[in-house]
Amino acid sequence: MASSTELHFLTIAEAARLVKSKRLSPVDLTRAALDRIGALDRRLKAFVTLLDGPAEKSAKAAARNIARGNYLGPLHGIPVAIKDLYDTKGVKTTSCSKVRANYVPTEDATVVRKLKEAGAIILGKVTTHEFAFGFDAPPTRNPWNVEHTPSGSSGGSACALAAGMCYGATGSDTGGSIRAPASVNGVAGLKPTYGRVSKAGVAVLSWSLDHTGPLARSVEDLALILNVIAGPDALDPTTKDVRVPNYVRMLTGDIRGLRIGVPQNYFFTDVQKPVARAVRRAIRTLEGLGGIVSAVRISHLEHMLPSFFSIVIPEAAVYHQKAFRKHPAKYGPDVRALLETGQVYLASTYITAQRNRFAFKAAFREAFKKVDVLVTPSMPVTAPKIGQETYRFGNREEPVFTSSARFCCPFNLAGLPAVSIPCGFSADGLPIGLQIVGKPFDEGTALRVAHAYEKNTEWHKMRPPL
Amino acid sequence: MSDRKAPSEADVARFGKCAGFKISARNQRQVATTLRDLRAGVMKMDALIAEDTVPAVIFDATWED
Repeated sequence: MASSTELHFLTIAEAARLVKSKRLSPVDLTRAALDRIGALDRRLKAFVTLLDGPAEKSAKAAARNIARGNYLGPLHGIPVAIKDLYDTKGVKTTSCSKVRANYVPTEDATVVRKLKEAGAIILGKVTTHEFAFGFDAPPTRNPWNVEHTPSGSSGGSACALAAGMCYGATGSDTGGSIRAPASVNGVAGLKPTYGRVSKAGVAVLSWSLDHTGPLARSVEDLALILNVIAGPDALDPTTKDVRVPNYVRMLTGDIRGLRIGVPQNYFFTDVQKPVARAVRRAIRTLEGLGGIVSAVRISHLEHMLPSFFSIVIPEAAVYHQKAFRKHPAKYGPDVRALLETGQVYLASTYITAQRNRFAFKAAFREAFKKVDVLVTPSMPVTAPKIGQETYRFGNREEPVFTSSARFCCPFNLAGLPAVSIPCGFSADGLPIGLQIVGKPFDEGTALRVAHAYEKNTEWHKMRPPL
Repeated sequence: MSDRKAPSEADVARFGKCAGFKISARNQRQVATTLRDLRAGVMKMDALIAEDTVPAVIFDATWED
């Protein structure tokens, strides 16, 4: 692996500075991304729909506007990729399912509209697991080793970023679908607080667990995108009218005195050794930067997964009810089995899971009385091989689906903001992710800690050997 | 449904009938074990929480609810 400062690997912040000062044209930036896609995507398969013509047209328009002095801000002229779960006006939005093979929305999802209004260039649509219901994004490959998956469901977004095929991307996260692919592709991903970013125009997996958010190559880039997409939306009744700070200004680099909680239960059990080592080392780095590290216990976590699945499965089944009953054979076999389960799920199990959820939330509330952020591994593992079904931890075998979800989904149940950033590599060169979790609507502090770590390490600068 | 014994494939087919939906034959076993295993897991946690806990029917991420 090698460090790289080529045009296609610029961060948004770096590119924006050059674009603003007219030293780099959005046309050249877009061309660099499209050339990179042309060179690599036949192998990596991140893009479902490439909008090369419209992207070049938008880039020319952005260049003209900037030349006239109408600079819109840091996303102006920046090429981004959109997960194929997000509605894009006039552009096929398939959710990577035969069910929506020909669906062309007449409006943009709110997040897409906001990105366009900020001047971002839409390069195309990237893969998701079918309707985001899985930790993979076939046929996309992991750029660090194409024999491995990019995880999912926002696998196309993370792959495209890691490979330098875009500068920012959108994702969605119901049980880790932003953070898991960010972790295994060596990029940054943020699941904001539930209600912070609109989900309007994004296909539902689970109304009460879904979150939308950004992926990028740096924490500053996550903050730049969040500045644009955060805020209440009349089209999404789950959004909250909570003040949106300037997240970039919160990246002070200073975490002295900040209270960092490290859970002593759950998050360090059944973890691959290189992952545990990398995360422990990252915690020492944060302590070295002046963070006050303390051990915390969060009760009931060991019982959390069944409640998570007992919410997501029936909620997904209800969202898909009409289409599924009409065309069950159009769904892939794994999603079909889950939706069939959801069709006959007991209401009493679902409601019991929602009661449990209250108890989980209370447990986190208790923990956050003593700390400002929690730090955990994003995942217990590195990327699985294509076709791999389980991981082994001693004598215990665990399905890939569960391994991928178990450190991320507690924060979907609690609705807390959580960011994943690179913190190391396994011996075979696969990225490892560090998860930093904040209090509700305090994305700023989680990003501040992530940014301080990033500034003092080199992991985010590593590029896959493509 | 017992927390220990999975419903049979015939049970699952009947559940589907009650819901007005045909569970495909190849998935009946998987559906049955998933229903059993997840319910058992959920009930384990249920045994640990306060009786007066309310369900998070409409979820709100603020601490106050």
